[in-house]
Amino acid sequence: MNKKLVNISALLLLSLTAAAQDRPEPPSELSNPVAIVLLTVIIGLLIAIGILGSVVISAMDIYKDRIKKSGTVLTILLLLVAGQAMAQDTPAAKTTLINGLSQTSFYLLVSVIVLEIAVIISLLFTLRILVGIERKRRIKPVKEAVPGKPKISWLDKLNDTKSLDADSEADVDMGHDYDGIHELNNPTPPWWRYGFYCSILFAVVYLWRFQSAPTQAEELASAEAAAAEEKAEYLKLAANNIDEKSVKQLTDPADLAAAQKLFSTNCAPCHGPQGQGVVGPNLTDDYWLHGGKINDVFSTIKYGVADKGMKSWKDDFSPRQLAQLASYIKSIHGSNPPNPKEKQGILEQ
Amino acid sequence: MPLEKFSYDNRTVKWFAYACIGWGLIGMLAGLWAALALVLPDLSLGFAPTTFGRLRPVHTNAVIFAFVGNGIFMGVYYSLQRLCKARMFSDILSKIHFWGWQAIIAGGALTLFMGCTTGKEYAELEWPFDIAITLIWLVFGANMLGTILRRREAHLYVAIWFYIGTWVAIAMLHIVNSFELPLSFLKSYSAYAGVQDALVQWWYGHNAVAFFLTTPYLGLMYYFVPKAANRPVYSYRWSIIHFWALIFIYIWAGPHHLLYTALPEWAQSLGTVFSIMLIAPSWGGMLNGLLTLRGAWDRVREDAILKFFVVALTCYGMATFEGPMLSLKNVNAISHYTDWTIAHVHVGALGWNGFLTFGILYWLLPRIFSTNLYSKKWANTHFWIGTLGIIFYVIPLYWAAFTQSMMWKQFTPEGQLKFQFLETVNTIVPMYALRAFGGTLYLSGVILMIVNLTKTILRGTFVANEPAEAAPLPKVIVTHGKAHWHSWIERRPIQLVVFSLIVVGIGGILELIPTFLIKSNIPTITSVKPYTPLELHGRDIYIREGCYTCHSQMIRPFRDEVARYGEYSKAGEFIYDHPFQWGSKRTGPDLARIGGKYPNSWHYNHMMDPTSMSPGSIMPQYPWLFEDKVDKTLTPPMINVMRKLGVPYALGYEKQANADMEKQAQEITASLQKDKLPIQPDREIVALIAYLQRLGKDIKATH
Repeated sequence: MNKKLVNISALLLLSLTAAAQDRPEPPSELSNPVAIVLLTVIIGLLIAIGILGSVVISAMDIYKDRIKKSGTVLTILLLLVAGQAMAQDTPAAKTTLINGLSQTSFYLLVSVIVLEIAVIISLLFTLRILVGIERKRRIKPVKEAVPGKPKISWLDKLNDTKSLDADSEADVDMGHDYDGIHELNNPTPPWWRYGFYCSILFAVVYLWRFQSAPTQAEELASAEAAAAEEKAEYLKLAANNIDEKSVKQLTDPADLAAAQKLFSTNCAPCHGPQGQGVVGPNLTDDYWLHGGKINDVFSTIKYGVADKGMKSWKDDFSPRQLAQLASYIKSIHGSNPPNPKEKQGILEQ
Repeated sequence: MPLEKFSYDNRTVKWFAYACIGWGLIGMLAGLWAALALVLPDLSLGFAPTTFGRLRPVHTNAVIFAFVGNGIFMGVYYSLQRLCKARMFSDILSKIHFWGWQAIIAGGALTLFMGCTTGKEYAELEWPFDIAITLIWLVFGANMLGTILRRREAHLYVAIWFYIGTWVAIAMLHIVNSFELPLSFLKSYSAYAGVQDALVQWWYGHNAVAFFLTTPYLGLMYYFVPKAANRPVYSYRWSIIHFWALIFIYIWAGPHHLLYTALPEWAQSLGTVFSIMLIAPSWGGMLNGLLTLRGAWDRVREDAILKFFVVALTCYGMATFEGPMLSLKNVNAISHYTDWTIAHVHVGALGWNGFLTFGILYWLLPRIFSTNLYSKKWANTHFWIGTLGIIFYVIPLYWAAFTQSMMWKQFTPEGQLKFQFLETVNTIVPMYALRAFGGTLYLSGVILMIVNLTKTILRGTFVANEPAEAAPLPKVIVTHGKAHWHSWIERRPIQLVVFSLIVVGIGGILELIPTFLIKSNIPTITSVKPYTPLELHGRDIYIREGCYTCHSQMIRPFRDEVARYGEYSKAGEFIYDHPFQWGSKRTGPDLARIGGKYPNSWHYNHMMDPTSMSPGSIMPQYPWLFEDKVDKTLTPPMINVMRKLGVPYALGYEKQANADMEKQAQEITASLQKDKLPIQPDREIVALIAYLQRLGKDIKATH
């Protein structure tokens, strides 16, 4: 009777998950590569559940006297799981896309997978209990009799580092002797082993994803686009929209102080700390190579004069900073610093 | 069966131990000097051999090939004889191996100081040394394989698998990466160019880490850890899995050094996934070592040797977890070109290689001098100073790396870069000072070890030939102990060599060949032209001074890099770069598009005194470039060699090259003259300026 119950609940679960996998898929999403992978995983896991389930059931068959307890546990578990699967089916509004799938479909598919994994784990757990009991009884009746033997925790199971005592060490000794070095043949810890499998799985998925992932150039383009949008938003709000036509000379001491700081780190190497000129021309005399009006100075800084070695600063400074700098340069006019560079350009008062 | 009497050769082991210690000290001093020079740029003394660009290759080559290299040979010569129950195959080969290797190191260090370098990281030694390394490596292989073939032990222990894997892989890597065409006795050009050169170089560079710093040391670990702990190896089957998985997977991971570069993206992806798959095999080695210590943990508290081993294995585990994480593209976007890489490799170098070597030295030297260690207390002190040294070394660098990377990527709301490059450097200089302090601590521990070992040696008596006896190998080998399928190959060294070669060969072949053959991997850019003769000379100077140790020439397709340096680098731009100069670290800014950014006079002043143009710069001064002359006689052969390598110079151009060179030099001197900077056109600075002004410009011609 119990067997039947289990069977029915397992079937119920199967049909529910099957329904769950079909329902959120409008035809267009079925062709999505992510959806296909997720569906494949779901089907694969379903098959595993089917196989495991039948194994568990036949294992139970053998131990009829013990079925009553574990059978009910399993049924409850399965029913619980099935209830969860139903709970997943509530439709949600389509908002953002994840890998080309709507959020709803994506999370639904993923939670089906999670659910399936949970079922598999619980089945495995049940199976382990059943088989474990049997093995212990048959092979190691002596050891079981040892009183006070500590229960193995899940952490130890995951770690599974055996041969802690001399007895079990002798069990796994390979019998090698290399210059006195002996070798045991302990199993590798399960977490390490499964970690390795996971990394291989990661590699396969990564390489497969690589087909459809954006290229480096596309990544850059989308980053640039997002940045341009942000900048446009900012400029709309800020009183920062200054260009060479609209620039006015600033006289606020705070502006000039800010400009002087920029000047000493960026301009001084070529124009001298006082603007007297070194490699670049003197900025304090009456002679100008590219115009001495505030608009001209602004424009020279902004766009540079490539063939004379003046670089364009428009990517380094904001329009406001360019205006500050141009105003600062206008403000040091006639300051007559020591060691001035010779006159260059046209006289402009 | 009657026992045969023979003796183990301890003399070669002793020599290698001394060489390991001596070169280790020199290599670490060079490293400390280089570290201090980042804080106090004047430490370069205005003298070419002591600039960072030349000290750094000396440091890396000395610690890798001299310190660790001699450490490997010391351990292999000691353990191999005992694991094979046979004396080394030939005392003469041992001698040639030892002295040959030391001659290569000494000559290599000298020529690196002189500025003779191929410009390829960790493979800087010039072509005569490349040939010498190949020959000495063959001698080592013959000696090792000879010993194995004459062994009295039927099966090969796991340590020997690792020695064999190492030998095979290093031979392959070294030979493939060293294809180069000599220009003169100490100058050659890589046979590969640009993207291909980068791929080959990092296939080599990454696997130099794998097969010079990792697999041989895993072999040593498998011998010395169970010996020192007197415990059985935890898992034989684990050693089989992780050995084969490690050597197979490692070889593929090289491209993770080139993420987000112009390397084809499929190759980058392979680098990423194989790096991730490396975690488990690497950890297999660490865990098998650590679990071997089970039952000996009570002794770890007192025994400095076991302490060194535990920290070495832990550092190995940390570095091999961090490495794969750095191979994920999103992490690499932050870490690459920063000090993170430097911190990462030093967890491996100082922790894994350094500490394992120290542990072995403390264990081995008293034994071959048949005495006890002079002071266990000092050894414990060394352990704690060394550990503190590692902590003080790496934590500031992680901090520096994060800080700088975040600063590089910050924009103001107006969409401008928030920080000038130099600001980001000056922010982390205090971290560099702390790092140098960590290095000093580590080095002082080494000096304490040297004193301790010297005192040990002085009170012992050296056993040059340690007597031993064993039964000869029977005609038919019977499997010992429990049966295992893997013992088939453990009885067959030749098959083991061939199998390991196949296993390490697969990854290399599958990555290298497509990159070389498939044209679409490197799209052609028609406006990219070969360098002029003057620029070629300038490029040689750039390589000679080790500019690539601080400056990259590879702009990644990131918003901040494009804003800071210009359009991102394309594969087609590097087709005439023999060798490539992408670099791996940005202590200074990227130079891929420096051409035309500043006037000639800026470069002139900057090379004379960097702080005059960039206040606060930590770049050294290069006064000799203003005195030394470009060697014009080299121009025609230079053109010829480049043509042979596939650079399309017209036939007979070598005759006209010097005239062209003078003309271009005159133009540059004339422009400098205008800025009151008089210089003779034949000086090196003129050639260097020509090269720098050319960088990254070709692509702009298409716009």
